[in-house]
Amino acid sequence: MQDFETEFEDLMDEAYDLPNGAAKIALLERAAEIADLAGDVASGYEAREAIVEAGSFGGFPLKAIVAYSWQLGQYDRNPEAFDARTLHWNYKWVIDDVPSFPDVPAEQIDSLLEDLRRRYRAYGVSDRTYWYYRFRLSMYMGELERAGECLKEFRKLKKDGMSDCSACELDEQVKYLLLTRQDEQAVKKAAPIIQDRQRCAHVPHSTLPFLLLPLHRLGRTEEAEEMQPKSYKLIRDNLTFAHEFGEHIGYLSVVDPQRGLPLLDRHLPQLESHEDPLNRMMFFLNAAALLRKLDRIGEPYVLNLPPSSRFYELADRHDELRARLEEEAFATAAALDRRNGNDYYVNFGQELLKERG
Amino acid sequence: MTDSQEYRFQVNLGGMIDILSNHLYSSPRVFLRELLQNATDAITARMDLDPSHRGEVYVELAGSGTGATLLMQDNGIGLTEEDVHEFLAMIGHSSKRNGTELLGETSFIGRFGIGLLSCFMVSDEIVMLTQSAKGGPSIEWRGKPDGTYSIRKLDAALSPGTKVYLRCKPDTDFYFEADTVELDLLHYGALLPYPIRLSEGGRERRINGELPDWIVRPERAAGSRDEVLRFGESMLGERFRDFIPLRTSTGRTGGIAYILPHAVNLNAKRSHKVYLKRMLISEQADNILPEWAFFVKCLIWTDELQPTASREHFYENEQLERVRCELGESIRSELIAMSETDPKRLGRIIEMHALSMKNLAAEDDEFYRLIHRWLPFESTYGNKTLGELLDERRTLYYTASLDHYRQLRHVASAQSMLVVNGGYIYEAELLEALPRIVRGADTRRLLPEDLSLAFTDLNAEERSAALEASRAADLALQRFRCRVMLKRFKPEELPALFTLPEEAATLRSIERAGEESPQAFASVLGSLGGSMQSGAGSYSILYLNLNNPVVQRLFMGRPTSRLGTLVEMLYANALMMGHYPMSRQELALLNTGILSLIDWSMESEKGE
Repeated sequence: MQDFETEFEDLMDEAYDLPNGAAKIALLERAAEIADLAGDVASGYEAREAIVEAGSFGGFPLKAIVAYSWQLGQYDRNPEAFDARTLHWNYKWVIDDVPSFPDVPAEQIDSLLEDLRRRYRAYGVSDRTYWYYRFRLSMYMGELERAGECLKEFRKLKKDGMSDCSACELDEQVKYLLLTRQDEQAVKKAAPIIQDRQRCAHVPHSTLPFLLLPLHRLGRTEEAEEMQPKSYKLIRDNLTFAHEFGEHIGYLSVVDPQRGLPLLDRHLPQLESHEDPLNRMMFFLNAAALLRKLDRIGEPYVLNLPPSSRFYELADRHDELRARLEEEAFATAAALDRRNGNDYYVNFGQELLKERG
Repeated sequence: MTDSQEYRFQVNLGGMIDILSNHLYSSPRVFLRELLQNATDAITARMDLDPSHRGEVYVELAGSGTGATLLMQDNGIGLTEEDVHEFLAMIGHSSKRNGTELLGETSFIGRFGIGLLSCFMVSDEIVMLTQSAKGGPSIEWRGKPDGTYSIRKLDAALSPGTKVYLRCKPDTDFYFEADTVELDLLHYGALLPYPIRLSEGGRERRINGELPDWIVRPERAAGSRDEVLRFGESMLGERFRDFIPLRTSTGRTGGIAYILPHAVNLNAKRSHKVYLKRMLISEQADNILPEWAFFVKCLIWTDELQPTASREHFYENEQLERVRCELGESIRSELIAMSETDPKRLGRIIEMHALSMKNLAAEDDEFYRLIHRWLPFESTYGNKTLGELLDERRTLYYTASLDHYRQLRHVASAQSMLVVNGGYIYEAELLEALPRIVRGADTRRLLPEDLSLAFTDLNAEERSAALEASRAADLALQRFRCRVMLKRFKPEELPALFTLPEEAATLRSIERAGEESPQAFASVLGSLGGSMQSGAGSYSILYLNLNNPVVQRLFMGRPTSRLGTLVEMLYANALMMGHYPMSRQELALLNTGILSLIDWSMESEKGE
């Protein structure tokens, strides 16, 4: 038993120092495993709480979902033994990632939202967070009209202890304006984020990449150019930003495709087996757009993919690589659309290739 | 706006002093720094008027214990009566200059007053005699901590400058002891370009020596190596062996980064000594260098950063960000230069500080490219540098956790695979990034199933001999979604190796979590797991080693009806050896298996 405790503490300590990502999660999973082997539920819970955080913020949503389910099960069995606030708070991270997986049917996503609503009410907070996440999830599922309705409900209610920070809330509303093609209003709304007056662990990281092309489209090219390296530096080392890497590549594809290549070299091998299908798809679409663009303007280029990449063989066969990326991306898009009951992502992908490719 | 009127804030000086001493400053001893700062500012101001003026600071201690007094005298610009009124007004009247007085960026006069207030932490009365270099009468000011003060014009004219007298307040006599004062004066004023003298008990000594030229021009430090190292030892209290000069492009920040002569923990507190306008501002400045630079302890001077109100740290702003980047760049470029001119020296530094070097390399591709050959790693070929490992020209397999490495290293080295331990901080990340840095380098994360590629297949004869038994074994583990593979591999003591492809591992964890989850989540997990079950990758594999005598007997010997149970036991055993957590079903296997074994052994005893 002494051995277990020392080993567990060592693993947790070592993980603590690491950035959210694969190495950290490997250590935490090991810690959870040995806790399970020793039958120590409290330690298993502690390790999984850390997995949920590292997974949600480090690009491993599936691991977060799995760990969180386990935690919730333990909590329901023995609510007195665990910290209710943290558990309720983390529900938001986890539910936010579920729609990325086309294998989860829409009804199950609905019942998760209802479960969240029920638990939050029991915990003593309003429906505000419920509407807010319904708004977010509707956006992810291509249901922009429904998202708009939820946004209205959400705005009627007052902030409470489970509300996201104001930077995050602002960020999502900017995203909504962007998705509904209101570039100018979006950029205006994002001003506090751009000027660094509103920030948190996730903002402006996840906001700026989506403003590059809108700024460019609005003719504010200098601002976009200045923002690009700054924004990229913030996110470069965290795989949770797969979609954001894609936005950078897409932007560079439009303004200066050669500059997009190092990003493709770096991130394709990291993201080719990314856990999150939706984000992987977004990255692939932008990567394909870049290859299209380079092909179209006839500039020669080389790709430097490592032998461990599953696209290694295609590094010199640009056409085939592009085709493979598009094929995989559209397979995911179709699967998501089937689940969502619309044709949002297939259209989205085609338009993206048209604009950026 | 004609009827608008200006009001003044009423300030309770007693409350103000309490704020300063209990909340703003870290210790009462900073009063000495504040006095020295005032003296320095006054001398600077006077030198602006008269560049040939030679500044001097004189400190005198008299009496002892609670009767002790301290005098600090400077020959700076001095204050006119108007100046005195102005600073007093400003302390209580923050609206006049946008309230920035307490926030560091402020006029000489405003700062002067705030500095003076800090003396109330150690003295119940402050007496200041001052004569302005601009003329006018000499002034005496007496202040009390309750906010009352008196001003008197003196008949005799003093020489220009300021004298401040403090009288020890109960329980602060420590701050008036000669040793403390001497230490603090040196501490705060070591880099001041004019003499500070301390007189006590009739003895007078100079506190600070002549300033060496390389402090101001760090690029010349290499020429005075021994002197620089000695200076570092006296200022930072450690015996260093190497250093790197620091300088920003503006030339307004510079210093010496001493290489720590011992390894430091990643979380160790950085404690650089930083001088702002030649006055010590902090011994614990942790934000002036990039995080990765924890293998150095620095002496830094700057005149381009903005101190916080307590004057003990710097504001985190763009200016600081730029200075931090450029100081980091000084270190980085020196290391890069070393890789060409003095690789041995670089090797020594890297060996001592591998952890922070790896951190830096993980953040910065260019740096990684330049130093990658010297980074040390643990591998199945021994402790080697990455350069040596690359020279093997093999696939570098790496593990993402130490535990994984320990588990697989023996099997891997028996197959003579080159496996690198990526389980320490940043290592897996670096190995993953290596192909981007070194073209053609082949690094792969080691998955247990990769090991099996090195296992030998059975020959045709063995295969047909073991066919029946293999099928039965496979069938026995079907319900655990595990396939049995019969191979030959080293070491022969190992009967079985359980491997779990990533997809199967995910599925396994989904199923185990599903057993424990509430309904809404259990169904989501079901959907996520359901889509995976179809793939061949969702099966785990149990490799059985025909080189092992027991396995040999089980599969090549007389057929036995107990094969199923025995394979289940090998499976459970392999799970345990690999430290895999077991499901309830698997734990049950172990239970029934052991009972069977006991039962069989008793039967065979009966038969004897």
